[in-house]
Order: sequence, then structure tokens, then C-alpha cells
Amino acid sequence: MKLAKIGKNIGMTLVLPAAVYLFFLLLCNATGHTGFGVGNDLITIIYNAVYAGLVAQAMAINVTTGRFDYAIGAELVLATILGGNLANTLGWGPIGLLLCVVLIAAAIGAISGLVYTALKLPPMVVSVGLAMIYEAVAFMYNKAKGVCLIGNPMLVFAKTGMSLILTVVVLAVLVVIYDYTKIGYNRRALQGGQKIAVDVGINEKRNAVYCYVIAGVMMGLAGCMYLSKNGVVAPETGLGSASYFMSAFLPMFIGGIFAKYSSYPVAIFMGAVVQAIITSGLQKLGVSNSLQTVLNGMIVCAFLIYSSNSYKLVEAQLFREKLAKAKAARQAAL
Amino acid sequence: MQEDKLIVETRQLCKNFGPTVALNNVSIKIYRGQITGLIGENGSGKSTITSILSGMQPPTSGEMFFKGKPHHPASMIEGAELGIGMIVQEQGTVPGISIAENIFLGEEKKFGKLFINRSAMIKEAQKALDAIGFTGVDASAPIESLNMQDRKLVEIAKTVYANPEVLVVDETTTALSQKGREIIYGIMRKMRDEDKAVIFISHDLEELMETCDTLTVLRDGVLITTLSKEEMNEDVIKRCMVGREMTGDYYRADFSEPISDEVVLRMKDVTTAFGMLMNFSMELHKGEILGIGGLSHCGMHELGKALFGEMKLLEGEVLDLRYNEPISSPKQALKRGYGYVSKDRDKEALVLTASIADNILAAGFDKIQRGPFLLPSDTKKYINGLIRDLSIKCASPKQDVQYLSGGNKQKVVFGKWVGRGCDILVLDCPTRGVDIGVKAAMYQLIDKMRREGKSIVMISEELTELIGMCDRLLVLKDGQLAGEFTHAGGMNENQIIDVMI
Repeated sequence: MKLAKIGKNIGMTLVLPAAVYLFFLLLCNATGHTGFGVGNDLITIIYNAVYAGLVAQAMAINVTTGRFDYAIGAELVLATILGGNLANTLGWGPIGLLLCVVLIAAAIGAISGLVYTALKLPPMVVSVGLAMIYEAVAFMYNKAKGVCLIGNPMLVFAKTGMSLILTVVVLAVLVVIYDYTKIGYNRRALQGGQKIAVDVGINEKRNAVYCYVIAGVMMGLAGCMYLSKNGVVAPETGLGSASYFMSAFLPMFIGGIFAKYSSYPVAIFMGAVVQAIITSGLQKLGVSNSLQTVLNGMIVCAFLIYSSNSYKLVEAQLFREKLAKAKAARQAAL
Repeated sequence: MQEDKLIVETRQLCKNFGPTVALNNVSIKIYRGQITGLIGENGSGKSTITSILSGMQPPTSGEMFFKGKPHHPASMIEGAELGIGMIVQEQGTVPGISIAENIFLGEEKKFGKLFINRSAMIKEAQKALDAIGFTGVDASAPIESLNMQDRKLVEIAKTVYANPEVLVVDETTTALSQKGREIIYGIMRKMRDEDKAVIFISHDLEELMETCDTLTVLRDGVLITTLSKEEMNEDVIKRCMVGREMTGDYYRADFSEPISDEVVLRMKDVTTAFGMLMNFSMELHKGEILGIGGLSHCGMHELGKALFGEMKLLEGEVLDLRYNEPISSPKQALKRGYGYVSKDRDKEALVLTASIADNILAAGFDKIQRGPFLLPSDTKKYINGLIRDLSIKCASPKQDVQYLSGGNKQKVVFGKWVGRGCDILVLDCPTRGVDIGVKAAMYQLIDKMRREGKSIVMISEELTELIGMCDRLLVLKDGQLAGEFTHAGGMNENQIIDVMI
């Protein structure tokens, strides 16, 4: 019984990425587009999945408790520019880069959390304000040059092996935090009923700060990956840093649907894999960037529609059963 | 009572909310080995005194002593740590987490400082549930797998697990099934036998008289009297509560008028999408009070929703015979002069964060609008009239509904539809959580409406109310009609209960 349940959960966790992969593989083969999902294409899929997965984890930890953090893109930009330049100046190598960027991102996350809890303003308002400040600081620093490390041997985090190690470590840590620590328990309690949770002694403010710090760490890791892939992170202005988290939505929605089969962080990552496969598949099929954006938007809408209405499938079955029961009761009464 | 048994004492306790005096120099003593009942009209200060005692809010002035020492808890958590457990009226469980996590909400540290031992938590939660006799439930299951009544039992398990020395049960029984009530009565008696103290707040006189050793009556924030078991008498309690003799008829007096032959509403072969109701048919006559009774999950609440067009029907129809058209949505029901008082007032009947005025006006815009405009003088007259008629205790019509006592909230719900002058009124537990004085006023109002030719469906879990008010009573069991009683044919409580169970 228990083994069957575990088997079902593993199956349901993997079914969507596998189905989407198979769909595009067949479609590409049928239309004569070769090379989908293998070689460089697979490397791209892995990079995109891990990057989007990290950003989605950062966004999800706050969004699910009612805090939309518009500043996470700016956190990535600022932490990567500061951390990247610092690590480069000190010549600390890849681990130094990772530590510098992630620690600075965590500190920025903590600032975001503390400001949110201190100001007691709506999170969207606070985070838009903070995003503008972070963007401005990143712009002012280093004469608006950002960070440019093209060809630097520190940039190892976009490599497939490193990406996969990062994924495994991050998921393991997040699953433990979400499912086996007080932070995770309290976060879920606050997500379900803030007033009741606070009344029984759960410290909402402290939990919020923890969540912002974790989000900061995720964005720091994503920053390391982005910098490793592109070699450059330029400062942004006018809330342009939002483009860094636009890939988070679909993984987050898919994660919400499939979380019951594993754990929320794992499900989010599977969502990121699905998104990466779709993006790669569409590119292989020669779909233009603008049309890809439209299609991605439609897919996000489709998932939202499904997740908002999926209960109706269960309901329909219950209705059929009740109608059969009513009919049987009528016949018995005759 | 021996003074060494004294566990809680308040001296000259006062609590003001702005200009409103909620408690006025209340001095009360609570003893070990006793179940102390607290009764009073809505807004009399019952919940205020226990909420101060448990640390939910501070007093304005006065002193409190717990086990002989000055007592001023800064929060409910501190109150609970000192040994005062409280089960409140409102929902106290959190959705999205398991039953076990709800029981140990805020207490996760018992199962590890950093990492939580989930299996140990589930095992301990199972013990907590078993300890109160709530068996057959899996503590690891999501809280959503339980209905609202059973979720209350989870709260009770949580409170009792903390092993309090004083247990406050604040109007909890109205939210419980019969099984749940038996569990809470058992817990209260057990605590008394263990030489602990229980404070029991309820509007149900019968329940209080049966359970409590002493009964303290409050009125308008003032302690009126404390009655011993021997002194407890229904008439005496009522007189103490309302401050005058209860004159006139409590329920309806006149059942001599024949019910009109005119059928205004017909429900035919209805099976609802949710709940138990199936293959149900009924007719409602003009000027009739039709009672609907049964056990908690018999389908009667779904019936109320179906009559108001708020419940999806899988089969059958609700037909308004005055207009010869089916009622399939609340909008249409409103248009045809229907009103509906829901049992779950906080979720379905009120906007808690809106004012009393806005809540009342929400159902009555079309009654006072002049073209596209609402004149301030009209709205003021409409709202103030209802507040006065229903004796809603509030600082002003602008006060948010969430800050009203349970009974006053119910009066606002009632007022919405009464003010609208509905022709067909569906009342689902209309007097739930309402004190005896207002109950009597509501019964008189319902009877007045009947005499004016309005038709009323009265759904209730209180059999005495149904017998006292209804021309006809339909009893549901497992979602189907189990019996029909009329006043002409005699309504015998025992016969009705036989049909019900």
C-alpha cells in the first residue's frame, strides 16, 4: 500500500515533464527538426530549468503567504554586481563568487524582510520601492558598469554538472526547510490562517524575515548562474529588473498543482523543467521569440484555468455518484 | 464554597471600548471543582470577562487574581501557559495543514528545536484526540478532511492537551454536533471531578441548568447575581437577564388560523449537488411558517440554500408559483422578494470588515433608491430604524460588524432581510447565538410577518423553537423527508425525535 503510494507520487511528479518532453520530441521528429533534447539543447534545457527553478522558489516562498516581492529581480542584479566584483577583486575563485553573491543576496533579502515588517505597508508597495532603491544602488556602483567577468574561470555555475549538483543541494535543503523545520511549519500555518497562527504564538514577522532571506539566497544562486552563463550583469533602471523573475510564474503554478505528490520545492522545480522543455521545443520548431512569448502566456493562463477549476472534475464524479444514489433511493421507495 | 478552592477572582473589573462600557466593576469568584455558568444578553460582557482572564485583551481597570496571585496575562499564550485554556466561538483551526499540525500549532518546539519529528507529532496528536474521545480520525490527515463541527473538536483536543486548570468554553456548543456536545460535556465534568474549574458560556438555558453548579448572570456589563444549583429556575434566570418580567408569549400564541390554500413556492424532486438532500419535495403556503428540522447533517441547511437559488441542483426544481418561474439564482430570488438568513453568518451573511450600515444597506438599496441616487436622509432613516427595532448594540452604524458580539451580528443579518420587507423568508437557524430577550423579539417579528401574509421557512436545530413557531414541520433524515407534523394534528416532541433519529 505504502509502496504503491510512493510509486504513484513519483509517477505523478515526473509525468508532466516526461509527457511534454515526449510531445516535443515527436513533434520535432515529425516536422524534420532534429537535435531536440540532446547535446547542446539538453544543456540549455538544464540551465533554463535550474535558473527558472531558483527564481520560482524565491518568488513562491513569499507569494504563497500573500507577499508578492517585486524586488527579487533587483536583488539578483545588485547582489551579483556587488558580489561578482568583490570576488573578482579578491581573486577568490568560484566558491568565493558563490559565497559573496549569496551572502550579499541574503543580506539584501533580510533588509527587504525587515523593511516590510517595520513599515507594515502592503508588500507590493514596499517591494516596488525597494526594487527602485536596489536598482539605483546597482546603477551608482562601479560607474554603472555592473559586473563583467567574460572568460573568467570563476564562472562555473552554468555548467551542466554544477547546475545539477546545485539543484540537488538546493532541493534537499528546501524540502527539509519546508517540511521538517519550524520555519516551514510556521510558514504553512501563516499561509492558512494568519490571525489564528499569530494568536497561538507564531511570530509572523520573524517568519517573514526568514522567508525573505531564503528568497534572497535563491536569487543569489540564480545570479551566479546567470553571470556564469552570460559573463555580464548590467544594472537596470525603471523596474527593468523585473525581467529577471518573469520566468518564475509557470513553474510556480505548476508547482502548486503537483506539490501534493512530492514537496512544493520539488514540484516547482519540475514546473521549471516543463517550462524549459517548452521553450526549447518551440525554438527548435522555429517559432519566433514574440510568438513564444504569446504561447508561454497562453500556457500560464491554461495552467491557471486548470488549477482554479480542477476540483470540478472531482465534483462531477461526486455528482454522478449522488445522482445514482438518489435514483436507487427512488426505486427502493416504489 | 471554601475559600481554599478559590482559583480566579476579579475585583471591580472594568472594560471600556471608547464610550461603550462592556464591563462595569465586575467582581466574580471562580472555584475549583465547579462548573460556573455565565449567562446574559448579547453584549452583556460574558465574553469580555473571559477574554480578559485568558489574556486576549487587558482590562481598563480593576484587579484579577489567579491562584491567589495578581493576574495580568499579556497575551493568550501567556494565559495558556499560566493554566487558562479557552475554546472560543470563532473558528480556530488553520486550513492547509494537517490535524496534528493544528493541534500543535505554535507548539512545534515540543518535537524538535530546529527539525520537527513529524511522526512523533502525529502520534502525540492521535493521543490528544483519543483523550477527548474523538476517535476514528487520522491525525495526519489534512484539516479539510473534517467538517466544521469536527474541526471544533480538534480545537478542543488542542486546548485540553495543554491540561489547563481553568477551562473557558465560550458558546462553543452551538458549533458542535450532538456527539461533539457530549464530548465537551464529558470534558467539563471530568475537569470538575479533577478539582479544576470550568467557566461555561451559553445561551441555552436548559444546557446551563443541567451542566453548571453555579450560574452567574450579567446584564449590560454588570454582575446581577450568582445562582446556586438549587436556585436555578428558568423564570428567575430570564428575569435576571432582561431585568424585567418576561411578559406576553415567548413563542407564537395563535395557531387557530387555518393555513391558506395558496401555494407560493414548490420544491419538486430536488437533489442538491452538495450535502445530503435528495429526492425532496415540499410546498410553502402563503402566510405559513414551515419548520424544517432534523439532525445536523440531515440536509436541512442545503435545503435553505436551494430555496434561495444558492445551491446547485442536480435534479428537480424550485418553482415560484406566484410568477410561475423557477428560482435558480440568488439574484432572481431577490428580485422575487426572497430573503435568506444563513446559518454561517460570518462567512455567508456578513461582510465582517464593512460597517453595520453597509451590511444592512447591501440588501436594501433598491428599496430606498431614488433613480440612481441614494439620499443620505433615506439611508439614515432606513438603517437607524432597523438598528432601533432590532436593538442592535453598537457604538454607531459606522462600526465594523466584526467588532459586534455574536448575537448582535445575527441581528444585523436578520435586519438586512426584515428591512427589505421580503415576502418569502428562508431562515436558517435565525436565533443561533442570540440571547433570550432578542429571541423573543425575533419570534414576535416572525409571527407578525406571518400575520401580514408573508411565508417563512424556518430551519432550526432547536426542536422547541420549531414546535413553538411553526404551522407545519417537515423532519429530514439522511437528506430525505422522514415525517411531517402539523399543529392541527399535534406536534409531540418525542414523536418528532423518533422520526429524526
